[in-house]
Amino acid sequence: MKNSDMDARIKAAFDALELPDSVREKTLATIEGEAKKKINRDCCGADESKAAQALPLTEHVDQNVADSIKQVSPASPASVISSKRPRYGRVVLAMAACLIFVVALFGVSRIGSNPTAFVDIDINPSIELQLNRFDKVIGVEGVNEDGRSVVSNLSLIGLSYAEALEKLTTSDALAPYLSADSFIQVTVSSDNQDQEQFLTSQSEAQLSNLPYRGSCHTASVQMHGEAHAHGMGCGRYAAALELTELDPSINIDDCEKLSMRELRDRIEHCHRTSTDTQSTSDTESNGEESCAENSCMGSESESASTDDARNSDNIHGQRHRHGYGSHHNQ
Amino acid sequence: MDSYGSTVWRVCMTFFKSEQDSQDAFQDTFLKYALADDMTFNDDSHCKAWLIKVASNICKDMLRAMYRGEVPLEDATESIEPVSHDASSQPESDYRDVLDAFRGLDDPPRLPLYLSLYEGYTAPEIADMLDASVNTVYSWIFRGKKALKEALS
Repeated sequence: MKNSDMDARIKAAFDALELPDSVREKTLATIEGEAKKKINRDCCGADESKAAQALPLTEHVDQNVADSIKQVSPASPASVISSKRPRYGRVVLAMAACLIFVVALFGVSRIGSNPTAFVDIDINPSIELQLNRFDKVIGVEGVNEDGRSVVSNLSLIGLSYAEALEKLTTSDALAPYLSADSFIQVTVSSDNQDQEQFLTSQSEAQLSNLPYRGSCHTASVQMHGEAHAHGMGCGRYAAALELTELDPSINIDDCEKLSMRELRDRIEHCHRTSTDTQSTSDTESNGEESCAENSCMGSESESASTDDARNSDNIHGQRHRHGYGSHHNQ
Repeated sequence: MDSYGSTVWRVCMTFFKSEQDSQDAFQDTFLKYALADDMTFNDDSHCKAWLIKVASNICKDMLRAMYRGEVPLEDATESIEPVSHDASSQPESDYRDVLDAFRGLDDPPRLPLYLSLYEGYTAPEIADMLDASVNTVYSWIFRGKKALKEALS
């Protein structure tokens, strides 16, 4: 089924779903009733019940009960406490200490080997770095074929994130994929907000040292998982989703082969086309239709400017915590 | 209610098959609106977004209560007459198919999809309304469209 057919069916179905008059009337009646009750309460005041009179404390104590409480139980013979502790107690204590030590050691090693953050680097190769809570690289994965080719010639495990990012972005393995107009998109995903912020700032610092354009974003770990399920890095996936939304003629698989630069160019074009159409058209048109009519595909003549055009459409500003906050570097 | 009554009604109907349940949710939504004296809206679109969000929260709460058995599920007020699924001969059956397909989705992506496909909200607007990231919204819309297409095909 074509998207346009589905859209038409949805529109027709919901257009036919108007608020029934009976529901409107009943709702208005209910609201009116509640409003009257509220007014009555406000005007007349609550009819407070009289404050309960404090009952006088009874001074009478059941003597029998009191006596039973105060009854002193016959003294039990003092138990003889041996001054000597059994030897096996010390052994048990020592074994317990060893066990705790082993468990703690195991726990620490587990902490060190579990990824707590993921950083996707998308250019055209898409590469994922997995980091532990100490911001050390514990895993490297090429998300697409070019990415796998790049990482096969690199050793990044054990490095700090900053070291790994620098090594990767300045490596001979990545050099063939980088040109003057390349765009490097870094996406940080972590459930730990502090780590996410730290890695973001590290990414920005490294990107600022490179002679290429780039930006750093954050995304939820769930989004990260979805992206990889599609065989894409997070940055590419997010751009692909946006492009397919703006231009329904493109499907998400088409985007897999485009470089980040190409994806961003096409998104920019769709946004500009949408803005131009809205400013000249009298009829209501949404960005998707306008972009599809003008065909975002094949439009590569426009140079990618800054992210201003994209940001201007993000009317609700940048979001840094809930995912996809932008930190731009030119 | 004149401006946004139908919108809120549609939101409720994407959650419930029964008109009675939708009516309860609809009434609760506008009751909250009517009694929210301390609520101020920047503009009409803010008011509409608020109503949509409140309606969806009320519907979800009602569904949760139903699943816990606290509130009995109303019988769907549907005709038991055999209907054709040919949209041209009986468009109402097609409308029902579309609504059923929506109700078959999880939420999200049900509400974001409705807001995108029918109400025409952009992903950033939906993200702001539902307090989610823009790209999460794109993801919801993508998944939702795919699921809807499969259900309607």
